[in-house]
Amino acid sequence: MREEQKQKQLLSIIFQKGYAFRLAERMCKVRAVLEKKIKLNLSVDHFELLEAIDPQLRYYYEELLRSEHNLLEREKMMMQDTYGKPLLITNKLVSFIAAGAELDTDFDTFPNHYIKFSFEGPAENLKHLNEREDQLSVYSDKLKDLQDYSHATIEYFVRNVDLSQYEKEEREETFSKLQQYSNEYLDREKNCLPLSVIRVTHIEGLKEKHMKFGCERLRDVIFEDLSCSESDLNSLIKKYENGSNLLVRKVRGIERVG
Amino acid sequence: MGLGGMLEIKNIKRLSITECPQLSTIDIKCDQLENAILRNNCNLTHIYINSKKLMNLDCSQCSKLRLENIGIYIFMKCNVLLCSNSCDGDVKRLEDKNYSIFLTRILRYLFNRFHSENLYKLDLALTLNKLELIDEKYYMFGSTRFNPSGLANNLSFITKAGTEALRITQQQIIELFMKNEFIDVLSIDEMLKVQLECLRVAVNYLKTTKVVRPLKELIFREIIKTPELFN
Repeated sequence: MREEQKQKQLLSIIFQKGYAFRLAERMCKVRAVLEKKIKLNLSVDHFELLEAIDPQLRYYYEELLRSEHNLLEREKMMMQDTYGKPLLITNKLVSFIAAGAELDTDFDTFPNHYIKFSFEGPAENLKHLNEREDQLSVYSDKLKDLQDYSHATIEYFVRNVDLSQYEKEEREETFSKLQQYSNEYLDREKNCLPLSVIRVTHIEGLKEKHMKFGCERLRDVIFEDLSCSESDLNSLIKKYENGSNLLVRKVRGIERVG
Repeated sequence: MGLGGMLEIKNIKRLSITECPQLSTIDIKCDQLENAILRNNCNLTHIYINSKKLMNLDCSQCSKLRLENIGIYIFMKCNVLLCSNSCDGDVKRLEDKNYSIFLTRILRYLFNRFHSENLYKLDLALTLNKLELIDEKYYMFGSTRFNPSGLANNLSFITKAGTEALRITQQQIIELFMKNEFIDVLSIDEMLKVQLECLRVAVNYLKTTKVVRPLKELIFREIIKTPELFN
């Protein structure tokens, strides 16, 4: 047998560039939700799973299913706008794609994924998955000592991991560690990079004075699933206005942004 | 924070505020803002956004939001994707329903036309400068600031803007409407509605002024054809 023929053969399907990782990421998110539920001996519905991977779609389906209209009317609701004219299908698709991209790492460039149509074969996909294995591990292992992780992994964790699976104390500890880490770049000896993302989640009564994240090189600011007073949220938005993307989702207790 | 409770934010390019159950008003000034996603806010009733760069505003599935309560910077550089509200509304390109675009198109047309014909020898830079001044005053409209539900208000708005920036009279603007000058920039139904409103304004003009100024024959002819306007 010739030498070339002894090479390892991989049999798989091709993915659009980056999508094997995205798929793996989604599976990790679903696994994290399932593990938590199993641990607490609770059942899980598909809305909770959708919430983990695509919150906008979860909201849309939930609204439709909980609606008091009959099935025919609901079907009509999906297909028509308030003026009774058919929806522009392209808009609907764009909207859904955009919805999925809301929390993406690189949502500035997301349309390129859909336009370029560059594909990767199994070997490339496997290579990329291996390269980013540590990032996927943050869904199952709780982030403990930050020194054990690369800067990219810490940023990935901040951006993606749902802290609701953490106990309250663990959550507070992680929050304070991340806050400390975000300011370490000020210490030149440590040779750290500033965080490009701030994500605050699952905090009841968030106060502006408790947020002391470094904001140099800040790009994304995310407030998610928390309660906060109106004045505190407005002050926080103002405080971190250096970021170019601001996401406020499921924030309770605010009537006005402005 | 700015005047009147408006929040000024410097660098935000993309804003996403979703699923905030108590949120009723968003009032921000952000010069860099390009995309605003304000979906699924069930109590949201008023949006005021002041951004010269806004390209995409998506406020779908905000069931209490009404178009007349959306105030956006009026002179957009690009098309705005406004999405209609509520679950049954979902997503809709409101190109023709979007009054800001409606007004912008008319004003742009006016500026282009009057500039190109050199009627008033206005320098383009000066015109744009004037436009900026108008921006500051009328950059947004909403229930308290501007009521787009009445086309009469739109007309007076257009006239005011046109008068300030181009020194053209209301009658000249009405005349342009009646000559179907805007047919390229308005849909037929928009055109007819505005023309009818123009006639109402002209009739009102005739009824309220003691000195009858010469109305253009075209307008006069149309008024005579529609006597019920006097009722």
